[in-house]
Amino acid sequence: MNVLKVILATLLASMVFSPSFFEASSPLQMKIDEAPVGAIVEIDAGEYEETLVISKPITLVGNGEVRIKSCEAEPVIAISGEDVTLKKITVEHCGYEEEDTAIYITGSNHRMEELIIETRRYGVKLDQANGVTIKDSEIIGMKRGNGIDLWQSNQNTFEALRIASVSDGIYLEQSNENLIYKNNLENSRYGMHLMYSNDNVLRDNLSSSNITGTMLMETERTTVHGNAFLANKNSVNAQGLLLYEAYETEVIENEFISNRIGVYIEKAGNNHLESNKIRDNFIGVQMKNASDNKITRNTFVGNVNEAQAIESSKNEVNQNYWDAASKVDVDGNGESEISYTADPYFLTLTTDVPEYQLFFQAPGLILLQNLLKSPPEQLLTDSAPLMEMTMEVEKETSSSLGLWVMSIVMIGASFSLFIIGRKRR
Amino acid sequence: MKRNRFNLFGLAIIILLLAACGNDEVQPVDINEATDTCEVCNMQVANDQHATQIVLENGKSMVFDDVGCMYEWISNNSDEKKTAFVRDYHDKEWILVDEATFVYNPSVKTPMAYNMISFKDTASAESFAAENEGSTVMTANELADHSWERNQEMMEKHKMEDHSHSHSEEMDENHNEESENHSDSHEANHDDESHE
Repeated sequence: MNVLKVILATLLASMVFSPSFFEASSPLQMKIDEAPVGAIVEIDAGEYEETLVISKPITLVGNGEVRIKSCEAEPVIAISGEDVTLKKITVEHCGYEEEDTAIYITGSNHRMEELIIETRRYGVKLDQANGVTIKDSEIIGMKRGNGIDLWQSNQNTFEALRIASVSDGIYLEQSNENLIYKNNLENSRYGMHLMYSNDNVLRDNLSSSNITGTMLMETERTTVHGNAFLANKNSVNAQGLLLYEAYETEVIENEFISNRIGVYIEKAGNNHLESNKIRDNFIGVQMKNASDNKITRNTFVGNVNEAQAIESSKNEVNQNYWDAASKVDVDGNGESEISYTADPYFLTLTTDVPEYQLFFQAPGLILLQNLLKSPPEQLLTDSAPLMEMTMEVEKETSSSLGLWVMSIVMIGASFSLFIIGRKRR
Repeated sequence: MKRNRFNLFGLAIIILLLAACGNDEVQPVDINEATDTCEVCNMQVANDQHATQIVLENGKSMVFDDVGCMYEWISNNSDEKKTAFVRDYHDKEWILVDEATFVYNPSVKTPMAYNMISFKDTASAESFAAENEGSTVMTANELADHSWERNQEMMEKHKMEDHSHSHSEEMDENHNEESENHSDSHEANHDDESHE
C-alpha cells in the first residue's frame, strides 16, 4: 500500500509542477526577455512550438534549420517598437481561423530577411508599420488570406520575395510610398493589390498565373515600371493589370504576355502607358468609361484583339506599333499615314449576351461591324501608328523546324495513300 | 355524375398546384468565388457576409462585393426592375434588402471600404452597434439617402497626421491612440465572427 501511495504522490507532484516545466520548454521567449537592447539572439536549430512577442530592438537569427510554429489565435511572432530584426527563420502558422497571421508587425524600421513563412491564412500583417524592410524571403499560403497585408503603413520595402498560393500577394490599403521591388508573385488571386494607396512604386516584379497580375483601385501616382505580367489567364475575369479609379499612374516598360486582358482600364484617368510590350493576350488593352489616358509607343503583337474601348473618350492614343494595322509611310518619318482604329463593336455585343463570343471573327459579324459602325467617340484610334516596333520582340523560331518535319511526314503519308490505293487496282 | 364532380374537383386542385408552382419567388444564387466579380468594381466576390446581389426581371443575377457597390449600380440604373439581396453579418443568410437592418461604422472593414454591414433582424444590428462605438443603425429606406462615403476621409486625416508626425509629439500621441482604437474595434469584429 505504501509503495502505491508513494507512486501516487510522485504522479501528483509531477502534475502540479508540470506548468513550470512547460514554461521552461518555452525558451525562446525567455531568451528574448533576458536579452539586452541591441543584442543578437541566436536560435539553435530545431522546431519550437510557441508564440513570440518582441517589443524591443533586438536581432533574432536562426542558427541552422529553425522552425517556429503555432496554431494558436495569436500571431506566431508579434513585433512592435523599433529596429527588430529577424533572420534565417522558418515561421509556420497552422491555424484555420480567418484572421490567423504568421507575423504581425507594427512600429517602425524592422527588418525581415531570409525567412520562410508558411501559413493557412495571412502571412505578414503590417498594421501602422513604417520603414519596414522584408527581403529575400518566401511566403506560401493556402489561397485564403494575403501574403503581405498592409494597413496604414508607409515607406516600407518589399524586395526579392517569392509569394505563392495566397489571396493577394501584397495587399496595400491606405498605405503610401511603399516600394515593391523584384518580387515573384504567383498562383494567387491578385499578385499586388493596392486600394486607397498613393505614391507607391512597383518595379521589376514578376506576376504570373494569378487571376489578376496587379490591381490598382482608388490609387494616385502609382509607378509601375519594368514589371512582367505573364499568363494571368486562368479565370474568366483574369487580366495582367487592372486600373480602376486609378489616377496619374505611370505604366512604363512592362511586359504583358499571354494574359486574358493585358491592361484593363475602367473609370480611370490621366494614366500614362508608354513603351510596354503587349503580346499574345486575348485583348491587349481594354478601356471602359476611361478618359484622358495616354497610350503611346507601346508594341502590340499577336493579340487576338489588340484594343477595345467602350464609352471611353478623350484618350490620347498614338505612335504605338500594331502588328494588325495596315501601314503606309509616305514621308518616311516612321509613322503610318493611315490611322488604326479598334472598334468596340464585338465587346458591346458580348457584354449583354456572352454567348455571342462564339461568333468571334465570323464573316457575318465583321460585315455587321462594318455596316453598323460604332459611334466615333467610342472608338480607340491611333492617329499615327508606328512602322517599326519600339522594342525587340522575340520571335518563336524554335518550333519551325518541328513544323517542317511534321509537314513533310504528313505529305509523305498522304502520297503513300494514293500510291497504295493505285496498286490495289 | 358524382364521379364527374370528383374529377372536376381533382382538376381544380391540380390547376391550383400548378399556379402555385409558377408563382415562385426570386431566389438569390450562390456565390462562386472562382468566377464571380463585382459588377461595379471588378473585384472577385468572396463568399462572405459582405457579398450582395441583384436579380433582374429577366433572371440575370449580378453580384457585388460590397453593399456600397450595389447602391452605386442602383443609382446608375434606377429604371431597372430588380430584386436586391444582402447577407446577414453573422450567419450569411441571404435577405431582401428591404427587410434588412444596416449598421454603418467607419472602423468596420468591408471589401470596398464603404464600412456598411447588414443584419437580418434589428436586435442583432442594435447589439452590434452597442458593442462597437461609432455605429449608426439604418433601415433600407435610410440607406437610399446615405452618402456612401468611403474611408477616404479617414485616410486624408491620417495623411495629415503622418506629415506632422516628425514635428510634434502631441500629434504622435493622438496617432497612437487612434491605432489602439483601431485594433480594439478589430478585435471586437473578430469576436463576433468567432461566435458563429
